[in-house]
Amino acid sequence: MDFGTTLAAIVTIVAYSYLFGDNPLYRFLEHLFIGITAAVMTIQAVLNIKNQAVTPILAEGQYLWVIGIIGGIMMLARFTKKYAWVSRAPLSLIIGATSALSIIRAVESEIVKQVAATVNLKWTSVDGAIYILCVVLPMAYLIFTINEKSKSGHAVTSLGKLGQYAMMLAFGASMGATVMARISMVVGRLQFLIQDWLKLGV
Amino acid sequence: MMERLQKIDRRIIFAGLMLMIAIPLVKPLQLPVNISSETRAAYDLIEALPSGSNVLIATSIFPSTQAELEPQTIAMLNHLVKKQAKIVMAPCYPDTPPYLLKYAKMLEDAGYVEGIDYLNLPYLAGEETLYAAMGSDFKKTYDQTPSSELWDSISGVKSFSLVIVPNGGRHPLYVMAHISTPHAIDMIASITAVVLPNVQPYFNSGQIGGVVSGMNGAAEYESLVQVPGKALQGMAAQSLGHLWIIALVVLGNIGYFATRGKKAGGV
Repeated sequence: MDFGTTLAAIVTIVAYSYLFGDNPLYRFLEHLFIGITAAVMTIQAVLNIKNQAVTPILAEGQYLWVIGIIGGIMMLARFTKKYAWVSRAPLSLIIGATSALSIIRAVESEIVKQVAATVNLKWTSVDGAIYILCVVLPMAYLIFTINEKSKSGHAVTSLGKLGQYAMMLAFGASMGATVMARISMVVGRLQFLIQDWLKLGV
Repeated sequence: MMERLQKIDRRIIFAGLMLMIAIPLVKPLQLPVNISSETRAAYDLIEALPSGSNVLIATSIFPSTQAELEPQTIAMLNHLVKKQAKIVMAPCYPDTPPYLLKYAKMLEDAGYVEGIDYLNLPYLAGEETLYAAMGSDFKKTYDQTPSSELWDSISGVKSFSLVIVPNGGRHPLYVMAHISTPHAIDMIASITAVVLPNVQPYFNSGQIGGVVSGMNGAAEYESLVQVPGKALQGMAAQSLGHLWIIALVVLGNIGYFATRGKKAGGV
């Protein structure tokens, strides 16, 4: 039982002690965790700038990275009221680049291929029929620009009500998966405590 | 009595959960494992790799995803070693590099040599932009990587026969969009259970070749490669934990329905 493992085990137990009530040890651990995280993030950020920008500029003459560093410094202007506007330029560049990447991803992978895959499903199979209904019915629920009093509007609203059930099924599946993931985290920690630390059940 | 069922002390709930999970860890239980089509597809993709194929593992494992992603990664690494694949590991999250050192040690214990059979790339920030850069020019993205037999044999992302993405978020979708789909490279999403509903449609449409999801996916994979690990041990604990939660849900509902009429009458 080495010191590192024992320390990690004690920290795990103190973290879980919150489940049974707030206590000074837990609060100390909470502050310790935030402090360590802040320190690690700071070092990681400095290393990122050093490895991905400063070194390529100084060692390899890749001067384009200077633009990135200037953009980064401009972002810090947000902390002053007078010059906060300066940060808008790099921020808009980031938002623009992210949007462009997302659009490329969404159009090909999340729209074209998904629609093609749904259209090609077989109505005749139970799975295919359920899948198609679970696509179409929630879409009916999300149509807000139709006159509900008209015949077609009434039909869409009725389908939309069924769509609510389809969405509830999806939310239920997500909730179940979330519970499973959270239990896995507890299992992982207890495996560490029982098997790695106490050497029981191995 | 029935009202109490809706107000169970949370300490009892948590103590019961801990106990239910701890029992099978102290005294292991053997529960049957059913192999899902997603995990089977992932296994088949690795099984179909010719010996010596290059495989990229773009991973973002970190402490809160470790319980699920680590057993999956280890099971797939065991399979890749059996297939004598050349493995390139790219950390895509700041906390990931220490995990890769651990996996490197595991590979070296299996006879792998750094630079010849496997390679650990440095961490690069960027998330989606990083994957876009990898897809655009893989070698340039990692241009500070020292020369080695394996690294020199890779000309770009197309040099990889398979990309595996252990992640607890949207990274598999980024890899699918920027690497797997445009370059027609097979891909396995190795994910936490909570991400499965987001990834499942892409597996169904054939955009993602295989999915290993959560601790149950890891247990299935361990069972397929016949190397029992922490996931197979953990599944019994997880199943009993689920039983405890189901029992609490049922008790809560019994309490609710039994007291509903009384409350209405009392007002």
